[in-house]
Amino acid sequence: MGLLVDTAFLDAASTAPALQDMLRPALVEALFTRNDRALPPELVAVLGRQPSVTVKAKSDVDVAKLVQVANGQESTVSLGLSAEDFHYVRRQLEVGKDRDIGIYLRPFALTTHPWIVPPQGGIEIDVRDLSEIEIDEKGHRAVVGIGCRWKALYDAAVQAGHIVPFFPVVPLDYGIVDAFAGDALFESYRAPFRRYLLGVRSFTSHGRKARLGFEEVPNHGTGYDLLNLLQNSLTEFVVPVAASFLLAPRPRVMKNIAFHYPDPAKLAEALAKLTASGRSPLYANVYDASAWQLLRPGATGGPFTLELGLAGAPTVVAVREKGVEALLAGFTAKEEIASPYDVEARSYTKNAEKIGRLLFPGYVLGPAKSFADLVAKLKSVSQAERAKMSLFGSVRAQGSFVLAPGFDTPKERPKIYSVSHRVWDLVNATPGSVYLSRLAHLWSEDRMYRERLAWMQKLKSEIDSAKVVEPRVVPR
Amino acid sequence: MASLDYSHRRLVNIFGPERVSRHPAERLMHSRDFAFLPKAANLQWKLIPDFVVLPKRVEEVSALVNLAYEAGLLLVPHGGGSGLAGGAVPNRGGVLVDMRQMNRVVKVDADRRRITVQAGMTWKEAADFAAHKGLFLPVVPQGAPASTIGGWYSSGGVGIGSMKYGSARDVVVDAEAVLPNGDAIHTADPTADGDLAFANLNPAFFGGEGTIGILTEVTLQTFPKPEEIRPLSYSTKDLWSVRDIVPAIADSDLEPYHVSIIDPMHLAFVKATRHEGLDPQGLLNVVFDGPKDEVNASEKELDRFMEEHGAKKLPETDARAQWDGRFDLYPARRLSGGLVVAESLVPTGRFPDVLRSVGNLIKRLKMQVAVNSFLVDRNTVAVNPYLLMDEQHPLGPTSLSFVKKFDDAVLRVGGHPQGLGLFHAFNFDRMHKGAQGLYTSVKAVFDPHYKVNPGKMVEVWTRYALPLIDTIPPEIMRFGLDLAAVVRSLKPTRDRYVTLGGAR
Repeated sequence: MGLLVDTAFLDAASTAPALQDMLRPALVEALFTRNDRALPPELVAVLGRQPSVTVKAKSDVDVAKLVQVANGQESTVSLGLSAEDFHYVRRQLEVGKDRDIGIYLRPFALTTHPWIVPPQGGIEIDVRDLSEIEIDEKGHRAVVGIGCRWKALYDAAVQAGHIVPFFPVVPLDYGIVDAFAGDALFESYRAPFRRYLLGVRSFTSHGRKARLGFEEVPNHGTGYDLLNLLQNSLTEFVVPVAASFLLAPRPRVMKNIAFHYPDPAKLAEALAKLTASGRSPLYANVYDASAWQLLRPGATGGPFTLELGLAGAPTVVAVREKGVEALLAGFTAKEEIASPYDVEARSYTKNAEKIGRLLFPGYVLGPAKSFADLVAKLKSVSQAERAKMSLFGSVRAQGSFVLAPGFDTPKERPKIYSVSHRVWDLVNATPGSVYLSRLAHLWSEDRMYRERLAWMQKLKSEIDSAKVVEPRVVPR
Repeated sequence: MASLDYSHRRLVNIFGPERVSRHPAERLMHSRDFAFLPKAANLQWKLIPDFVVLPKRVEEVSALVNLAYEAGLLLVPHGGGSGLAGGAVPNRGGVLVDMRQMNRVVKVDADRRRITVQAGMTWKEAADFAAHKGLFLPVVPQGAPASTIGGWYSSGGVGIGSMKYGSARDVVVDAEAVLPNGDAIHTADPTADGDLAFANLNPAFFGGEGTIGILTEVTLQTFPKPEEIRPLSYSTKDLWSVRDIVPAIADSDLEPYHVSIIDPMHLAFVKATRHEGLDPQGLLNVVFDGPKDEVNASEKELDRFMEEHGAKKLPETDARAQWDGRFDLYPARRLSGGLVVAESLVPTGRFPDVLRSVGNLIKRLKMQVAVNSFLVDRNTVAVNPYLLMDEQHPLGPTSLSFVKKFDDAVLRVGGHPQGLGLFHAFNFDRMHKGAQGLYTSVKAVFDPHYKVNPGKMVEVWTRYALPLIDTIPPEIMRFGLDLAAVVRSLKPTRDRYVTLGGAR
């Protein structure tokens, strides 16, 4: 489910007589790790629930019908089910009982871990078939079903003479849905994901079609930027079915160049110089040796690698390459290799599966100059947890980086919790850096953040007044 | 509602007598923005505020919001007055909050290249301050010398530099805002600039036109100062000849910082005003920024490209003059009493269609119109036509119908007009078909008592708080403007302020 559901549940749980004296972090831990001995049975019951039915939506129409079934506008007959299936669905959904029937979208690939509160019965929509890609022949944009894989969009765009200008920080096989219902982070060197997101086709909890943003141009100057306001929690407000993205024309020259560094301090120096130079690659990824090996099995590299995608007109790229090479002094080797995104879909998926087995506790953000310090601290987490760490990351033009450390350890809830807590502690001790994770969002006691969260909760109550889109859960 | 005298005493308690005004001239001056409005508009809106206040500190703004709630006053935040949609003018009087004295630099974070400034500072001042610190504020409005940080951000601005660096949204990291409940909050975590940071309220204020709170402080992301900013100008016979070049630039792998398209009519207006400048011609101004060697290489690529497309390169001095005059867009205002501007975003591929529509409108409505445009991203062109009108002539205000007809054309091709405010709110339902309820929810949640800039953007209040006549339905506004267009087309003569060698 989502942050708003989790925080509302936490607030409600903390008022339960048995839990009144429990401190919030301890409550988060008990709920996250499913410590049944510390929790009252009604809370345990909530945490153990599953969606009542999973429906594979074939089109927008199916999604609209499901929303209308959930909000009581339509009977399940309209799903076109046989009498037998109809009774099954009604029974499963507990239609007629005094409980909100929620709609939940199933993410494809979670980088980190699910939220605390699972879907409470209701309808889970499998969006894999909503995967149509329409690329505009006259412009640089694509309308994509949210069940489409990012890699499929990337390949289709390349074939049509474009490129997708945003890339996953962790190269997992994400679907577009993961940007809205999951925790996929897409970036480019120059801009965050939101710059490329033009609009989202969705259904409101009242079953009405609602397009957030526009499909051909950005939404600037058209009222509140709802698209970006809701983006991270979109599936807690509306049910998205497709998104429109800005593409870029395929440049005449595209080069993928790797610079290998002997230690993080030298790489940090290079990052600071790169981001101060005004030289602008398409993407700038960083890896440690282990991550590099996972991404390119058998390849040799240094302990740390900076991978730049240079793209543009031939003469400009030539000059840029020369300039970048002069800037990034301190590297031990440089090589031009194939882009990690241009590999065949099958091998991309295979690699993604391997990488996906790691335990990612979240993303760490910081200014370029603190790169070496943070890497050293993350290594200490790896040692304390006795789990090998693979470090994926990307760099941004404004002089910051985002790192996703992946630990080679079983993805068990207590382990996820302890690794996350260690990262949280070390980031808190590093001024200027931030830890973005689902648990960190629940831990944060920052007054302003809690106030903003309260406004988002009010907005959810107003927008999802039919209590259909991932409805909040109150333990009874 | 408390009496105006009582309210005045309370306002003086908050701001002191020197920063509260009831003077008619002061109030009249604050009753408009850059948009032209006929005198008849006063019949439907009370455009003149009851008070003008000049806050300097966030605590004063908080106290003002609390007083507004207590005394039943409506608040209208006002920046530089460079808006075109009436977003910062009163519709039922109230207190006009002129933010321009909140113009200090609050903080500089050199490590993260960020500057925090008060929201009443102009974009030009902020850019100059950044430059003084060796930093570069890459996105600024075309009206940067007047437009305030809070004002342009609230209007969802795109402008100079958007092609490469995005919109105002992309350079604002965090803001401090006083909400309608009187609380001052930070809209985002300034350290977490990632898309994964939840509960980021920045987007609610971007384009929110001051309807859910008053921005008091903004943290801006700047970049290292580029080694070189090089303006280049290329000339074509007329505006129509540019129609294919603009989509071609968007399709190319060139990475300009800014691309603007200047109409010969605009140059004619400028020449008539100043008796200097370029002769009327189609003009493409392209600017590159970055390291010198990359800019040199880009210039050569662009020269080749323009040659292939039949555009002629102008001397460096002309290009530099164009760049230096980038903020001075409407000197033509001196030619007549009224100037009407329409702003829109259209898909790049449909740019020729929009130019054609404007051409047809010019013929039908018998006007002189200049169409200035710039690339917002590879898929989007900002098309901003403006026209001069004789406000003394009884048929003068019918020129406003151009805006409605232009908006229709833009919506037809998948674009949208920019800015809603008071005068363009009739586009709200057409823009957000199906999603209107979601937008009105935002206002209802943040400002349930409708105290801060109410009756705009999502609805249009009149000056009368009486049933049936308290709001103007968008259909009526549209009908009125369509009717004005019919009247306008019956006008026997064409408006002519300058002559342009038979180009139109």
